[in-house]
Amino acid sequence: MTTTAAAPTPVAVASPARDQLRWIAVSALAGMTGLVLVWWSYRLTFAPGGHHYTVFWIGCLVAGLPPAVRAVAGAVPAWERLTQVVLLSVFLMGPKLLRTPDRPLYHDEYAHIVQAEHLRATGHLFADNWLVPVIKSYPSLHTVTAYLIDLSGLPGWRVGQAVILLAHVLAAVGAYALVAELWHSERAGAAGAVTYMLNAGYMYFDSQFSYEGLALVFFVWTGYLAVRISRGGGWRTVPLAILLGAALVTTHHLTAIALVVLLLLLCASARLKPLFLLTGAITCFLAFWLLAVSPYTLQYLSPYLGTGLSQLAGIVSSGSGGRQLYAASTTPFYERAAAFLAIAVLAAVAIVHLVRSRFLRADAGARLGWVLYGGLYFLSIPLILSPMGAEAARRTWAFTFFGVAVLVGGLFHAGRVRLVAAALGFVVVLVGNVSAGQNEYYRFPGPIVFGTDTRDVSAETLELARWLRAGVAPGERIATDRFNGLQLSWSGGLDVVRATGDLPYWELYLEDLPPSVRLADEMRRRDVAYLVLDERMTRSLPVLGIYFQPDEAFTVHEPLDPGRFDRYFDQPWASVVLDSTTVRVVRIDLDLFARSAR
Amino acid sequence: MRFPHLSCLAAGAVIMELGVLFRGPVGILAAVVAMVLPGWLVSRRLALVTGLALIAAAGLGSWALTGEFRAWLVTLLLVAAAAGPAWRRDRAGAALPRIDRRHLAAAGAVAAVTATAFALTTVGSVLPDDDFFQARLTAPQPGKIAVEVVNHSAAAKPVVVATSWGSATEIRVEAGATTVLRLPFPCTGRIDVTVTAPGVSRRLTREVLPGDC
Repeated sequence: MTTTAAAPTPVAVASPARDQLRWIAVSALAGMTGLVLVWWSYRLTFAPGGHHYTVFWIGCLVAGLPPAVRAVAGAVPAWERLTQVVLLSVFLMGPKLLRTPDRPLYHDEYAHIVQAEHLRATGHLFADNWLVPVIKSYPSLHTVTAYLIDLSGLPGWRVGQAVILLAHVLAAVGAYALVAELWHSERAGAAGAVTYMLNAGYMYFDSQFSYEGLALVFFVWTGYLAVRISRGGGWRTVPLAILLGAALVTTHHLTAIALVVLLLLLCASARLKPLFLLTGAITCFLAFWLLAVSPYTLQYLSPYLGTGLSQLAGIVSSGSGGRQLYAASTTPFYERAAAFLAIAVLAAVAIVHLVRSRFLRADAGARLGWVLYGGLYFLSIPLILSPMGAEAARRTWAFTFFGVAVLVGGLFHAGRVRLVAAALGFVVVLVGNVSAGQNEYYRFPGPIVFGTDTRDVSAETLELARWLRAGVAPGERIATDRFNGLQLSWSGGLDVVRATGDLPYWELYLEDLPPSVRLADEMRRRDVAYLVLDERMTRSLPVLGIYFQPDEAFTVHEPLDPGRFDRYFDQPWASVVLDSTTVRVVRIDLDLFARSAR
Repeated sequence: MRFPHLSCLAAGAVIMELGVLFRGPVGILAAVVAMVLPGWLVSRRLALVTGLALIAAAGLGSWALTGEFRAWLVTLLLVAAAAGPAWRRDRAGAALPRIDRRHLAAAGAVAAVTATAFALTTVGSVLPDDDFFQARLTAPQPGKIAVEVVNHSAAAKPVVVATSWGSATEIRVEAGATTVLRLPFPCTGRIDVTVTAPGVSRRLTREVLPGDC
């Protein structure tokens, strides 16, 4: 069914078993050393000098290069290649693991861990989530985590980290199996896996406790089984592929849509009945899920792609309005240079593949489908110029990069890659893509920065969460901004409500008192008895540019008037029960509050 | 052994249900068994991936059957899903796999790196430890009014707690300490307390409620 583009790798004699064990020991030792260096680099962020970037990258290269180079070297047995791939993937989870060892860090992590712990405690599937409402319809990650918490008795955050570490490794191993299957070469498989681990989200974004991390596992392994099916794996493989595809649909919306796109490409390039059945079954299940279980998903996703494309069209037609890449960035020059070079390196790989395959004529069957899928990565790159499209593009790279891995695997299959060149490419793409994937606030700890999800945790907010947890009565809810809300909901275990059109409590920050009847009635109905105010709002604007959530109905161009917060000292329905350096807690008598409404 | 796969599954089922009941070390073993064994019986090559998918499916199954997620039921569904493949393997005379030196070397290396990562996490988050000065009314519920002063800094602070009904109390709050001050207060009207330390002032207000006095 599939033809190869070049002659297979010449048969090489595997190194002696003692060498193999020695190399594994070297990679393990390098991984441990690298982890210690990364850990140290995080400590250096508070010291003057800015050496944290240097130490961080030394750690990454010390740990990353030995397994990466050994995995793709000639004359290495398959079991050792796979072990090296696993070692590399475990290490590449390290920076995120150490960045936030005992608590969630990224916005979505709070939402998912709260959802999983709530599921374990109550048994309620499909429960509402105030931080990311759409996740209530995608419960697989929470189900797996809640089950393992229940079994192991370990803290939820620890179990969540273990689940994502497992998923992280399984995604890399999946890339290995996929590329090896497509090129009939273990070396190509290892090269594909190493390449996949260089995608912009692998080290940080997809290492967070979020549904996408687990979804990628189901995605790549369903894609792998689809390849097996297209190569005569036949009907027996279909049920397992459907199981994995169905698990994906119940795990993450965007990755499930991406899988259907992939399967359609594979169907178009390898026309086989079992493949049609697989594609039809998963497409129907996804359609059912989107229509019957999670009808708001498309509404949730559409701004990213739709607005992104329209913004991109505007940039092309007017020549303005685009994002300035690395605007106000604190990353070192070499990282920015590597980010642009990485695109050039990968584009060069794609061009070499096009030439070698005589413009894809030598690709056929499932491999053609995967190569075309990898092409979507390059098509998405211009989207990073538009503000909304950048987010959409970044989200798709996690799965389109599997296609890029197939392209790179082809180069190694041909056996024409020098290890020095491969190592250099590894360094450039690793540094560049990590830099392009996340900014400094997400990657490194440091001084508190108001209005960031990742640098706004302080001893003060943790003390606030602890105190409120002890004092708030069961059933009472809290209204606050996004940044304090993250801590209160997870560290404090408190029930924070989402600011929406039905519950527009931003009025308490922005508008005159008394409150509107609609707000007062709704707060009383939902028992929203506390308002937590962040006084930094009166001194500066949040870095993210939002106070509550991305789709909030207002834009603030300057800090709030301090009088907006001081007025609560004089309201008969308000008690200021805590006043601190940056936060103030107002307890609301909801009956008086409702009676005072205009 | 005549039914090695079914025997494995039976032993795994017992461990998993014991994990649900007792947790602890048995629970951790049960979690590993739950992730590996059912998936391995369904598909050897994709054991872990299949195991995760089965847990997700069993979670939905538990909800569909009882309206709730229940760990013991998830375990039963996992065992049920794996029983058929285990029986087929036994009928086909398939042998259990052997672990050789390569598996041990690979597992040892991966375990060492993983253990290092998790060991480093025990040091804790790198959080900035900025100073703050906080005043609060203890438990905002009726009946427990007192003023707490938190001095999260490296130096002790002289603090004056002044009230709207005319009392003023001087206290010293040590570095990193929380001091609780119980004050006599009027039984009607509104309490207004100002807590002052050098350079900072905090204000608390509260309506006196039935049950406070």
